[in-house]
Amino acid sequence: MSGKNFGFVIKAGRQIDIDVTDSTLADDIALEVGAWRACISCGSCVATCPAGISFRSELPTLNRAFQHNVELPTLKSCFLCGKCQLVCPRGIPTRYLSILIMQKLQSRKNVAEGIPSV
Amino acid sequence: MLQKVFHPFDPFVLLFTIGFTFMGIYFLYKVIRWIEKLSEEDKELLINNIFTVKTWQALGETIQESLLHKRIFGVNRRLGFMHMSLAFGWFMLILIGNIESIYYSGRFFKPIFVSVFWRFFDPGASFPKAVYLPGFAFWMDFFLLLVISGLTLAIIKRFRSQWLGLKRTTRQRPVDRFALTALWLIFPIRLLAESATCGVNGTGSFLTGTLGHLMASSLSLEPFVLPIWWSYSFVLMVFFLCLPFTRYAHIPSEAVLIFFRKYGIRVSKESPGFTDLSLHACSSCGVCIDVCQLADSLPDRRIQSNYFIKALRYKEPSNVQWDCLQCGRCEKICPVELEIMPLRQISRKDMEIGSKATISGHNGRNGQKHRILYFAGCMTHLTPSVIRSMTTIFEQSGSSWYFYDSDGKSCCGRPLKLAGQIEGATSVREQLEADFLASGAELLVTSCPICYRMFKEDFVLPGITVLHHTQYILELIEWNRIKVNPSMLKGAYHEPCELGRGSGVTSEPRKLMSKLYQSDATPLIDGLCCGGSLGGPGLALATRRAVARSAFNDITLGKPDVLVTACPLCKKSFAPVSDIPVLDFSEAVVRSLILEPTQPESHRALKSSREIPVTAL
Amino acid sequence: MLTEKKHTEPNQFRIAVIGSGPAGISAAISAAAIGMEVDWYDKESRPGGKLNDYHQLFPDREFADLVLDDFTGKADSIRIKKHFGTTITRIESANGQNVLYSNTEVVGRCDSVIVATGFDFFDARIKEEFGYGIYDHVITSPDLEKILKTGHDQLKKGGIAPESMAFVHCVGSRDQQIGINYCSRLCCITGIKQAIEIRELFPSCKVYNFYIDIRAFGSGYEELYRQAQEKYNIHFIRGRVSEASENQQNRIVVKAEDTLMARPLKVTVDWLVLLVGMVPSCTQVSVNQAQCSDPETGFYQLQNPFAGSGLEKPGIFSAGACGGPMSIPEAAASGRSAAIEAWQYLTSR
Ligand SMILES: Cc1cc2nc3c(=O)[nH]c(=O)nc-3n(C[C@H](O)[C@H](O)[C@H](O)COP(=O)(O)OP(=O)(O)OC[C@H]3O[C@@H](n4cnc5c(N)ncnc54)[C@H](O)[C@@H]3O)c2cc1C
Ligand code: SF4
Ligand code: SF4
Ligand code: SF4
Ligand code: SF4
Ligand code: SF4
Repeated sequence: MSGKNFGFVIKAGRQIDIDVTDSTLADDIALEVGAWRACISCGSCVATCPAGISFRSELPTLNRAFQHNVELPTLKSCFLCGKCQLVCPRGIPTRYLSILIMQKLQSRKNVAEGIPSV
Repeated sequence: MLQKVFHPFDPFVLLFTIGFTFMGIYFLYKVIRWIEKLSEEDKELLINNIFTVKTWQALGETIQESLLHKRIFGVNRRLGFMHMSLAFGWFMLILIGNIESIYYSGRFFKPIFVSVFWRFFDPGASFPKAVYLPGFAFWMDFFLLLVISGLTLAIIKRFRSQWLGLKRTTRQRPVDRFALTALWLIFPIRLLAESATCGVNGTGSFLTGTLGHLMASSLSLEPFVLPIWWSYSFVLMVFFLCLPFTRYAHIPSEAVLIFFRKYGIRVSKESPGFTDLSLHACSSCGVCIDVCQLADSLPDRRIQSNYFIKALRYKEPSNVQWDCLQCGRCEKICPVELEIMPLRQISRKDMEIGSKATISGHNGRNGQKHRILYFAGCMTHLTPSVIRSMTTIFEQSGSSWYFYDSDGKSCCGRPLKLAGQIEGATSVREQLEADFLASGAELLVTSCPICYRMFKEDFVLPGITVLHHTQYILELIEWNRIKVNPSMLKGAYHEPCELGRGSGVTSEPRKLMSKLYQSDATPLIDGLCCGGSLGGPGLALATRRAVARSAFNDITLGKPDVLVTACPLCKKSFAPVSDIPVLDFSEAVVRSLILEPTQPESHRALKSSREIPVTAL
Repeated sequence: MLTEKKHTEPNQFRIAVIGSGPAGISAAISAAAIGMEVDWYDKESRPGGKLNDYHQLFPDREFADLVLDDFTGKADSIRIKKHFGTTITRIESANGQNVLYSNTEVVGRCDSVIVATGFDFFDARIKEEFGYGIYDHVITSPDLEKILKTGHDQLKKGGIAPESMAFVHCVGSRDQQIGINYCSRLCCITGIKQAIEIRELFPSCKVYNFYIDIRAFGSGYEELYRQAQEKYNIHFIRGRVSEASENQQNRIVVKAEDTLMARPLKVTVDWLVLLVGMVPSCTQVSVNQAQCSDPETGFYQLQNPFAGSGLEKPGIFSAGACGGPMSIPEAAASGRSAAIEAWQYLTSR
C-alpha cells in the first residue's frame, strides 16, 4: 500500500452495485439450464450435502457479485453424489450445474490468463 | 498396354481397383494410428498376445460375428438374417469367385479384380447344363440370391422398420445415405451384369442363366454387356471410396476390435486409439435404440448410443452425453459388445473440473476392531428406514458390526466417476481404501448398489469381502442366523441397474424373494431403469418421472401387492409414482423377521469370523 | 288448471350433496333454505369432515367442536335427507338427470349434484427422509390436532414436558420431487397456530418453525404470525429441512440450512411435526367415467372459474377443498355459492 497512513482504513463498500456487476456467466448457464433460475433458496441442498458445499449461494454469487477475478469456489470438493438434487424441491439438476459452473469459470479464467482452450 | 501386364484385363476394372486400393491403404493407415494411440500398457498387451492362441480365437470370433452375425441373431432373428445374408453372402461370392478363378486360370496369385469380375472373363459352362450341375455357377447364383434377399430386407427396414421388429430405425447422415445407395445398387447391377454376359454366351445357373436367357430373347444384348460391367465397377468404386467415412467402416473395424479385445485391451482414458477404434466398430445396427427407455420419454432422440457414438466419431458438437441414464441396457444388448458405458464416461472427461473431492470426516472407530463394516451410502441417508432395518438385522444376527458412515459424510466416489471426474473419483477411492484396510474388518456390507459396484470394480481391498446387503441377508438366512416367515402377499422385485446388469448380482435377490413372499410377480424382462440414476446429470426431473412411471407400469404388470427393490435411489424414484408400498429388501426382511432376543456376546465368539463362506461369493 | 308458464317451485327439485365437511354442510343448508329437496351423502357415519379431527381453528382459536355443532344444528332440516355411511363412487349424468352410484349399486337420482368431497392429508411416508412412520416421535399436523384434542399429555415423555419441538413447513407441497408443485396455503398458518398452542401448554418448550416462505395470506393470519414471534417467542428459521434422523435417546435430529446465516444447522428435538399439505381426495367422484380433474394438481377442474363452480358437465358443481386447498370459511362460502348456482341452473334450463 502506498500513500499516507491516516490511522484508519477505508474498506471497500459491501453494497452490491448491480450497475457494474457482470452477470453474463450466470445468464449463460441459466440459458443452458433454465431450471437454475427456479431456485427458491430453501437451503435443503446445503443441509444435506456431505461435502459441506453451499450450492444455494452459487446462483446469487454468480448473478450479483461475479467479477472476472473471482476464485473458483468450493464446488471443487463436490462429490457429485446428487443428494442435493434428490432433496431439491424445485428439482434442479444441481449435479450438472455443479460441473457446468466449474467448467465455465475455468474457461473464463483461462481466457483471462490467456491460456488457450483445449 | 495394361492388357499385356495383366491377363485377363478390361479397362472397366480400373474403377473398382482404385476404390478398393484406396480403402485398403486408408485402413492400413487407420490401424497403424490406432496402435500408435494405445497406451503403453495396451501396446504391451498387443505384443505379448499376438503370437498366442488368442489370435486364433479372435479369428474364430471374427467369422462368427463379422460374417455370421451370431449376436444380432440372438437379439432379433430377422435383423440377424439381414446382416448375415449381406455379409456372409458377399464374402462367399468373393471366396467362390476366387476359387473358381484359381481353378480355371490355374494361377493362385493374380489381381483381385480377376476374381471379382470372373464371370465377365469366363462366362462358364453353357446353359441350361449349368443349372443342374451344382458347380461354381450354381453356388455363385445361390449366394447372390442370398445377398439380394438380405438387401430386400434392408430396403424394407429403411421404410417399414416395424416389419423387422424395430420400432425405430437409425437416422443417417448424407454421406451414409450416399454409400447406402451405392451398396444397394451393387448387387442388382451385378445380377444384371452377370446375367447379360450369361445371356450372350448361353451360360449361367438358375438365376443369372434364367434372367440372361430372358434378356437375350427379348433384345439384342451384345451392346449392353460392357456398359453394365462398367457401371458395376463404378458403384463398387463409389462404395469403397466412401466406406472409410461412413458407418460401413465398421466392417473392417469390427474385425480389428475383436482382435484387440481378445488381447485384453479395454476402453480407457489413456488409450484414445482403442476408443477411436470402438467408435468405428459400431455397425449402426440400431438395436440399442429400442431398448433405451429415454427413446419414449425424451422428445429429442439423440441420446441413444447409436447417435451418441456417431456424434463422438464425427466430432459433432453435442451435449447429449449428459442425458444418458447409464442404465446399461444398450450395452448389454449391443451385438458388437461395445463398452458403451466407459465410452460415455470418458466422453465426459472434457468437463473435468479438477475435482478436489475429499472425505471431510467420519466419526472414527476409536481403534476398535469390528468384523463387519456397514457402509450405508449417501443416498441411503435419505431412506432412513433402510438404515433402521439394517440395524435390526445386524443386531438380530449377533454380529459385531460398525456403522462406518453414520454421519453421512462419506462418498464412494462412483458418482464422480460416472460424471467423468476420474481424478476426483480416484482420490476419494484411495482415501476410503486406506481407511477400510486400516480398520481390520473382514466384511464390508453396503446398502447401495452404486457403492457396491465401485467397491467391487475399482477398490483394491485384499482380505475384505464386499457384499451388497441382499447377499449378506441371504447368507444370514441360509445359515440360520436370522429366521423369516414368508409373507402371504404377492411381491415383485425391481432389479436396480447397478446391482443386476452392472454388478451381476442377480440370483441372490431372487432367492430372497422366494424366501420372503409366497408368490412372486417379478417380470421376466431385462431390468428397467427407475429414472433416478446418477448416470445422467443433465436429465430434467420431468423426464426422470416419466421414465419411473413407465418402468413402474411395466414392472407391476403382474399386479403385485408390494414392490421390492434393493437400492435407495430406486426406492425414492418409485415412491411418488407408486400406488403400492415400495420396500427395500432390508425392510421386507424385517417385516417377516421372526424376532429372537439378541444373542449374547458368548454366542458370538462361537460363530466368529469364517462361518460365512464369504470366499464362495 | 292451465298456466302459460310453469311456476317453478323449489321443492320440485332434488339435489344431491356429496360430502359433509364444512363445504358440504353449508351447501346442504343453503340448498334446503332455498327450498330444494336435499339428499346428503357422506362416506363417514357422522357429518363434519376434517372438522371432526381438529382441536382449535386458526386464526381465532375457536374450538372446532363448537363450530361443528353450530353447523350441524343448522343442518337439521326436514328438507335434508341424510345418507351417511354411503360412499359415492360415480355419477352418470344424461338429459339433466343424474344417477349416483356406490360402486355398482344405484343409491339415488337427482336433478343436480354438488360434490364436496374435500381433500386428503398428504401421506408423509412418501417423504421418507423426514422419518414419518419410521421414528415414533415424528408426527404430522393432523396427528398433533388429534393429540391436542384428546389430551396433550401424550406429548410428555415419562411425565416430563417436551424440551423442544420443531415444525417442518411445506411437507408434501411445493415439491417437484413428488410431483406436487402447488402451495397448500393453509399449512403455514396451521404451523403457526400449533406452535402457539405448544408454547402455551409447555412454556419451557423451545419451538422452531422451519420454513421456505411464510404464506399468511388470510385475514388475521399475518397478525397471528406476528404474535407467534413477538408474544410466544417462536423461532422461525428460514430453511427447509432436508432430513431427520433419530439419536440414541430416541430424539429427533433435524438438518437444515439457516439460509439467513448461510450455514448448515442441526437441532435435536423431542417431537418433529410435519405440516402436511392437502392432496386430492382418493375418493373423488367421477362423472360419466371422467375424472374431471386438473391434470396438474388432481383437484376438480372448474369449467370456468370466473363464472362459477360448475364442472365440465352442466348441473354438477364443486364446493370446498375438492377444488383446491382452502380454509373453512372459504369452503363454507363456496358451498353456499354452489347451492345458489345449482338453483340458478335448475330454474333456467
Ligand atoms: C392440518 C390442517 C389444519 C387445518 N386447520 C384449519 C383451521 O384451523 N381453520 C380453517 O379455516 N381451516 C383449516 N384447515 C382447512 C380445512 O381442513 C378445510 O378448509 C376444510 O376441511 C375443507 O372442507 P371440505 O368440506 O371441502 O372438505 P372435508 O373437510 O375434507 O370434507 C369432505 C367430506 O367428504 C366426504 N367424502 C369424501 N369423498 C366422498 C365420497 N366419495 N362419498 C361420500 N362422501 C365423501 C368425507 O368423508 C368428508 O366428510 C386445515 C387444514 C389442514 C390440512
Ligand atoms: S452433489 Fe455435491 S453439492 Fe450436491 S450434495 Fe453431493 S457433494 Fe454436495
Ligand atoms: S435445494 Fe434446490 S431450491 Fe433449495 S436452495 Fe438448493 S437448489 Fe435452491
Ligand atoms: S452401439 Fe451397438 S447396438 Fe448400438 S448401433 Fe452400435 S453396434 Fe448397434
Ligand atoms: S445407457 Fe440406458 S439411457 Fe443410456 S443410451 Fe443406453 S439404454 Fe439409453
Ligand atoms: S402454506 Fe406455507 S407450508 Fe404450506 S405449502 Fe404454502 S408455503 Fe408451504
